[in-house]
Order: sequence, then C-alpha cells, then structure tokens
Amino acid sequence: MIRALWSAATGMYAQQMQTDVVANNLANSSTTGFKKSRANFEDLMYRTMQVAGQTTPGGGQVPTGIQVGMGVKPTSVQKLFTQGDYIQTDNQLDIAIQGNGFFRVRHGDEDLYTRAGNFTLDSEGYLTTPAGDRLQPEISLPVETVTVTLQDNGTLTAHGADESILATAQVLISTFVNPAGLFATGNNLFRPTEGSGAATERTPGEDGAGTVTNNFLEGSNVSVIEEMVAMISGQRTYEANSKSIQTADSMLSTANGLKR
Amino acid sequence: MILEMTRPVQGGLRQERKLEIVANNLANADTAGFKKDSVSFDNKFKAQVNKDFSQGTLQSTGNPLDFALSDKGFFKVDTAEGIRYTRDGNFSLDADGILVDQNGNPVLGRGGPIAINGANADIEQELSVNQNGEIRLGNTIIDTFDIVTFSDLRKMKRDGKNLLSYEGNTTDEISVDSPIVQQGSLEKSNIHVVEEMVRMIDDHRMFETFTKSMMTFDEIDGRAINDVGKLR
Repeated sequence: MIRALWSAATGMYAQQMQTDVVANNLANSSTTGFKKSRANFEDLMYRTMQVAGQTTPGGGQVPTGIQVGMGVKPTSVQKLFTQGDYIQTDNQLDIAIQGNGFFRVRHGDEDLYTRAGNFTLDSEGYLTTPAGDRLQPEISLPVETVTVTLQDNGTLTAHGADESILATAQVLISTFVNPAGLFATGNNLFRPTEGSGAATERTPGEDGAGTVTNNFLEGSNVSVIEEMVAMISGQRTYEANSKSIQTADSMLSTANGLKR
Repeated sequence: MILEMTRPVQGGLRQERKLEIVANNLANADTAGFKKDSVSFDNKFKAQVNKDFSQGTLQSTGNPLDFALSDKGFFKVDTAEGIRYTRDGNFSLDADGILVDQNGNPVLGRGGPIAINGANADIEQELSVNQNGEIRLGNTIIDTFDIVTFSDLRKMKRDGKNLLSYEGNTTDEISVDSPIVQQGSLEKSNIHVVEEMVRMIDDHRMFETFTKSMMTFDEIDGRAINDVGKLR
C-alpha cells in the first residue's frame, strides 16, 4: 500500500519536472538561437517477489515472476539541437548558422559557445554579442564601413561608401562530437563538458560544419503547439498520479476503519 | 472462526498488489518504451504479473538520434552488468562519438558499439537510418542496429532504467531480419490512462468489499463470543 503511494509520488514529481521544462521552452520561444529541452524518464527499480523460471513445489516452472515497480525517475533533461527557423532581419551583422556548429565568444575569462548570431559592434569596432562578449577569433570593422557581406564559407568583407573593400576577415565556427552534452550556462551560452568533447574549430561549410549567412537570425526551435500538447498531457498525467495517491489513502483509511 | 478471516484478508492484499501495479503504470505514463504490467491470478489465487509487450504509439520528435521500433524486437545495450534489452530508443552521442542510451551505455550494432563522429558531420542532415536499421552517415553505411527478440518474452526481467534482461541463455536471441526502425520518433509508453483509472476504481471498491466482509465476520465472532454463551 505504501508502495503505491510512493510510486505515484515519483510520477507526480516527474510530471512536475516535465512542466518546468515545458514552461522554460515556452518562455524562450522567441529567444534567438535557443534550443529546446526535453525531459526523459525511465522506470525506477523493481522489487522482485518471485523469479520467473523458479521451480514450483509441484515440479513445474513458474512461467512469469512477480516484479512490482516502484515508479519513475527523470534520467536527463536533454537539449535538442535541431535547426530553428530563420528570421530575415536585414541587419547585416546578424549571422545565422545553417547546420552544425557554434560561434565561439569570449565571456569574461573563458571561451563559451552560442548559436545566437545577433552581433553588434562595441566601442572599439569589434563584433560582440548583445551582452558584450566578443566573437572569437576577434573581428573588427573599420569605422568607414558601410556595408558588410558574408559568404557561405565565412569570409566577411567590409565595404566602404564607394564599394571599395576596406577589410576582410574569416568567421570560424566550432563543432562538437556531442552537442547535447554541452552545459547551458544561460545567456544563450554553452560551455563544453566531458560529455560534449572538445570543440573543433572549422571553416564554415567544411567537414560537416554548417554554413553562415548574414541578414538572418536563427530563431528558437521551440514549437509552441508541441509544447502545449506536452503541457496538457503533463498536467493530466499529474492528475492521474494524484488519483493513485488518493486511492491508496482511501484504502488505508478503510483498513484503519476496520478496528472500531 | 478466525480462519474465515484469512480469505478476505488475502483478497484485500490482492487488491493492494493490483493498486501498486496500477500506480507504477501511471507513474510511467511518459516513460519512452515503457511496457505496462497487469496482474492476473490463477485458480489458486496465486498472483502473476504479466508484462504487456503491445506496441506503444509513436511520437515524432524530429531529433535525429531518437529511434522507435514499430514492430517486434529490442535494441541491445551493453551495460556493466552485461547485455540488456530496451524498447527506448532515446539515444545520444558521448564525447567519443559512440551512440549511447541516457545512462551512457553503448548501443550495439551488429559490429559492436556504433561510432558516429558528430564533429565531422552534420548529424541532422547526414545521419539516416532506414527501416531495416541500417545507419548511414552521408553515403557510407556505418553499422546496422542489432535488433533481437526472444521466443518466450515471459523470461524478460525488468531491471529499471528502461532496461530488460533475459533470464535464460543468450543463444535464445532471435535476430529480427526486417525490424521497422523509425528515426526521429520515440515509442511512448503503452499504458492507457482510462484503463488504469477503471482498474484503480475496481481495486478500490473491491478492497472495500473485502473489508466489509472482514467486519461481518468480526461481528459474527463477536456475537458468538458475547451472546451465545450469555447467562441470564
């Protein structure tokens, strides 16, 4: 009886976590370069009361054992690095990655990675994120720059007023063996971990790395409808599990009522 | 007279056991690849817990490393305790590019662990797995999922963590020639909430019935003790 109570409690806890994840996805549905998360669950341990294949007193074999499960456990909250939608912005410093890879930016004294390519210029003319983290390797644009063009392979060219070329630079992107293993530090940034492997810096378009385009931003990959459905199903499963608790409670109370 | 009590007590305990199973099924309503349990009793009222391996519905996720089996078979996973089987195809890559489950155990192909280097390829665009479980990166075949099944699924034992082990010889493994592997989908748990709710109501009311009969026996016993031998 107490087991049913606790199994249902794990179920409620899992659904609560599911709702937390969904709420965060929805909150970030218009965050540039945001990648949605998904909560994954697995069944908890089982109490084996009778082993299948055990010999019965009559000489036969028990065909099916008895294993009573103890509920559910969250395994991981996984980031899904599927491609987000492209949004045309007509801002020439907005860069979107099409395919695999991340921009490397200098955040404080460490290098972090991001998919959000909404760069601006800082006071010294360097490309930085809105939070002031410079894109690595650093790219500075001359003051006279009027237009900026970017080729698929990351060659960035700054043009002056008379279409003259003022400077060229190379945008590099970093790829990981397992992007899902990256640690999200917030602020649209990711830190490499043991699980993600080390970053490999590549020229866009080569060796499986994605290509880059300016005038576009990558939106979040959250699908509001999907999240809504997940939220409804999470809420209902939460309710169903609470019914298990109520039933177990009521059965305990009936049992207690036996003694007058 | 006390013997009369044992029957309703056993009956009540049976309902308890059934509720435990229902609670576990409901707790796992969102567990990928979960297969529900049901309890049955033989003619001596001995409990049996049967796993129901019926197909769960597939949910499309769009994640290139999610796989679902829409026919018989299990994925093979190499754990520290030995080979385990699972219907949960929610896989990831580890830092070395090996395909692993959510607990970091390598998933087995016919040629052992499956290595997919995510740093040199765009997984979303280039990784494709056809229905037979052939894994391709671009145009090269890397490996094929080792999908197996058993003739007697009752010998599958639950280990938790979405894994099953087989209580018997590994030679009983039957390789599934044409499995149906769906990339970008996950198999949801095969429980039906309505069904579980009905079972729960049933268990609950039956439990009450048994307690009522316990109380009746108690009353009869009380009468027998206090009234029958009363001196007037």
